[in-house]
Amino acid sequence: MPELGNLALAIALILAVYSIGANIYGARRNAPDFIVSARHAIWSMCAMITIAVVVLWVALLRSDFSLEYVASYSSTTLPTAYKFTALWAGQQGSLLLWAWLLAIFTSVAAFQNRRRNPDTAPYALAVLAGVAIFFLWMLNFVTRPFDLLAVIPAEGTDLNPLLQNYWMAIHPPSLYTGYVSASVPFAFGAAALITGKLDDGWIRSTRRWAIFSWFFLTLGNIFGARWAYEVLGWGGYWAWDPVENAAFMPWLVMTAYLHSVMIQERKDMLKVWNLSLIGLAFGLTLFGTFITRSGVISSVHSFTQSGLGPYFLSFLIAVTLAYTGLLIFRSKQLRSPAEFESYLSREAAFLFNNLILVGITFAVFWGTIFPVLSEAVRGVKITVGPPFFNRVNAPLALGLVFLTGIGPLIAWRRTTPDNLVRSFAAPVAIGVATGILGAVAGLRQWYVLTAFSLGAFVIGTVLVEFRRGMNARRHMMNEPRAKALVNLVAKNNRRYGGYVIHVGVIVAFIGIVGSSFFRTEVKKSVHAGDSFTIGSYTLRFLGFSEVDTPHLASATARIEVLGRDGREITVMTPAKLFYVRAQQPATLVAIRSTPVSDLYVVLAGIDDSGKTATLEVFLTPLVFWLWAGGVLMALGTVIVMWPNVRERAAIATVLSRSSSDPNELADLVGPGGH
Amino acid sequence: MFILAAALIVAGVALFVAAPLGIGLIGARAKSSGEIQVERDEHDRALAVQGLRELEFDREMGKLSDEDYESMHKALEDRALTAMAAVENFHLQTDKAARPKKLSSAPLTQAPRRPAAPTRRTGAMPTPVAHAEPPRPPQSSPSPARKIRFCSQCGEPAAADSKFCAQCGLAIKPTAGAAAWTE
Amino acid sequence: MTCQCGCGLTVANCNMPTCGFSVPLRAEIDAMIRKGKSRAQIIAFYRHKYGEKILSAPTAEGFNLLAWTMPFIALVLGGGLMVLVVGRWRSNSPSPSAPSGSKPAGEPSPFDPELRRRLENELKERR
Repeated sequence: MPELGNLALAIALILAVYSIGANIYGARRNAPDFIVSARHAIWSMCAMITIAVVVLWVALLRSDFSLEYVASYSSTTLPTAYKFTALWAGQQGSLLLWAWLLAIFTSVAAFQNRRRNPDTAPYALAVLAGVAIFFLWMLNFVTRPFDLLAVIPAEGTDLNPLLQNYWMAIHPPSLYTGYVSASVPFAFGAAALITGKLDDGWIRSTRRWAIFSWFFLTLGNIFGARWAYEVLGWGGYWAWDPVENAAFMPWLVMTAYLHSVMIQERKDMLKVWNLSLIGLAFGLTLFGTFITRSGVISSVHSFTQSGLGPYFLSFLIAVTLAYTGLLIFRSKQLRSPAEFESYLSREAAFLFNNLILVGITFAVFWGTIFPVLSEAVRGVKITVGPPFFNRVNAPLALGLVFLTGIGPLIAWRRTTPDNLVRSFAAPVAIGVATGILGAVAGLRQWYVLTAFSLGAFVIGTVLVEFRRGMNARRHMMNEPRAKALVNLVAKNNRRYGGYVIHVGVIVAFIGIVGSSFFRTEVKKSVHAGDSFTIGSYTLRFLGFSEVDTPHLASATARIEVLGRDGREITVMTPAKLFYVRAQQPATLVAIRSTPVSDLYVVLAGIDDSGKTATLEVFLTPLVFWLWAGGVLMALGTVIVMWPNVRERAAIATVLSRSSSDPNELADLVGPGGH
Repeated sequence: MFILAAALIVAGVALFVAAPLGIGLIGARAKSSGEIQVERDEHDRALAVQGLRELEFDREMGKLSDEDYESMHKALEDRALTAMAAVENFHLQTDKAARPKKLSSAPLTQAPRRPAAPTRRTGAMPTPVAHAEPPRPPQSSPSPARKIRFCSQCGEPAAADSKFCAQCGLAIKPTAGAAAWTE
Repeated sequence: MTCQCGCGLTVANCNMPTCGFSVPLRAEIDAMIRKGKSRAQIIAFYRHKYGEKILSAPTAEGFNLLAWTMPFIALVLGGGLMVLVVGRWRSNSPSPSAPSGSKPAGEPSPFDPELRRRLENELKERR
């Protein structure tokens, strides 16, 4: 079986090389048979990588320890589900997953562009195949997933206990999906540069890809935070660790990109900027992998460190140079007649939004690489930790939240100040009222007050938008309230889905602020029967129960939680685990989540006599809303991506109107939406 | 056993990839400068129309003063109409030019759905097979069926308001056209 | 202060029960606090002992100042560049204060009324 995997990967590499050649030859010599053949090569490549993935999965499920990978990342006692997810637990497997996703997306893009974008698609597919070559090269020659062990061990080393968690089962695939799907818009941007077809065709044909990528980057980040919250057991969810930053930066840049393309779609400007942003997003996905794999910057999450750094760095530099070269080469043609009427316009709000998002990206990037810089310049190792990132990004985040409120209320092109004042009156009142209420309730930190007021202001603006849109529809179409609301969202799904995402971001932001500022912590060693209080809760330690299996030994503490009135609310059961194979301890935290605050109990230690437990208890207010915000963001993105009725009608109209190249024109008009 | 499987896989892939080669697909002809211009005009029109719709929306939402609305509306409308006039002009000219070719285009009724279909052509005829074949007939979505008419000769869909088929130049009777548009 | 066990968290947050660094260190710090040492003294002690890498954020001095200021310098530079570019755009777009000055309303349009009708229909249709 392993030979089959190796063979499949080798064929895939050859096919990737061939598809580049055939695509470019076909496009340059105007030979469509070669382009069709290149497409078949891409589909075959996808099939080959699929074979490799299946082979590895089968080996994992059958605990075939003759494979080094299987022996290193699983064991016979590992639960089946985690045998499945062990595919991306190690480096070879993650690269294989990456290559597989890339091949799938490339195949889908090839399918979508059978007839569309005849000028640019071959080049875009060639770029994607080029990226695939890099990963396939690694898999074939540098970090081979199907390497065999000389001596077959009787048992595997097992999967890292931290990874034996369901969030870890879904976090890497979502993040990788987000990473990899960003390469499709990138490839089309590069193809636009190569062919000189520099209108917004590449943006329109890859808009869904960009949103899709953003969606999964969002999910990936949230899942990762949730995993850290539930598994790492320190009561927090985000430590500004290099790997987390690496996942966060592409998200920031994609967010900026999704906003700024709206300007190009309307006014044909910012061409260079959008091309740069998508290049940056793609580069950052590579950079993220580089950081994780290279060990240049140490990190909690580097489960798969190795000497891949130089390869990734070379590839990253090559891509950056080539792309920048293309941008410079086309710089004359990229100059576009730009119109900009006023700073009081949606365009201006988007520009500032881009400025801040890229500013945050830079701050995160800077903090991430600064230790390396410091060591190179001064020879002194320093740490750039959470205090740095929090302090630098906090004001920027406020600015961004403010713009989130402003943007939607301003019209495109220009807005009359009078109208602006009218639009803003109600939301500002809501914001100020929230601030006063907070101050009265005893909040004193200026940051928290500002953050809450701004958050309320933004939610106010969104409410105003919904209400006004609904009323406009009611008057014009004579629809009843509910129907008007539904139609409003259905017919303008991009706009109103976007608002839902905004609300999600704000809700998550409130959760972050609340949980960062008001966390309380108690650490106590207790005997059975002892009790102590945190916030309004009283916790009583009842005793231990122990369970031993060949895979896992655990000691679970039973803790009774009493409310202020002395009534029992719940029983929490944090545990200490010991993974037998890996010889590693782990903790299982107990969380009781309410919208007001999370009670988070960690069993930090058991003394040798087995009588006393050391408990670490965190009371984290509002953290619930971080996850709720994540759900809202996902929901909003689904609304945005939902196929629009109007979209189909628009395409049909264009079809009927044009005879020269219907599909291309459909792209031009695009899913209109407001 | 493994060798057999390997050979099968290699052969299958090679066959699948090589199959489309040399079956004589003819590439798209280069677009004339007029067509490129008309695409730009169409794009311009689309942008202006979108701008107009958004302008309307922004006004309904009370984000614009009437004065701003008027001036911007006028500017955008001018842009849209300029582009539309240019497109219309181009189509009128090409329609005239395309007319004599109607006989040679007749086989297009059976134009291939898939590019891979082995249609041999001799290259003299400027019909872009690979990408500009007839758009999918409207069975995929029900509503356009009422809006799109098809040329009775070559099957090319035609705009409801055009007077000639853009593919073969045959005159299209202006029957339900206007009604379909305002529907 | 950052835990040196490789977890990337601060000493206070590192909760690996067997962490060979944070567990004794926390006890040590507790002892020092009981002895009445100030926060600054404790931090200086550990900085001397382990070097700067023990601090979880760069100090605000010397080269490290660059860490703190660079993001904001970049932001200001970026903002300046943006204003500059926008200024150039504004100069080649029609001034908003003199709208439609050249074309008074009511002037008969030079366009085919058929086209205009089509445009209006299209606008209505896509509501």
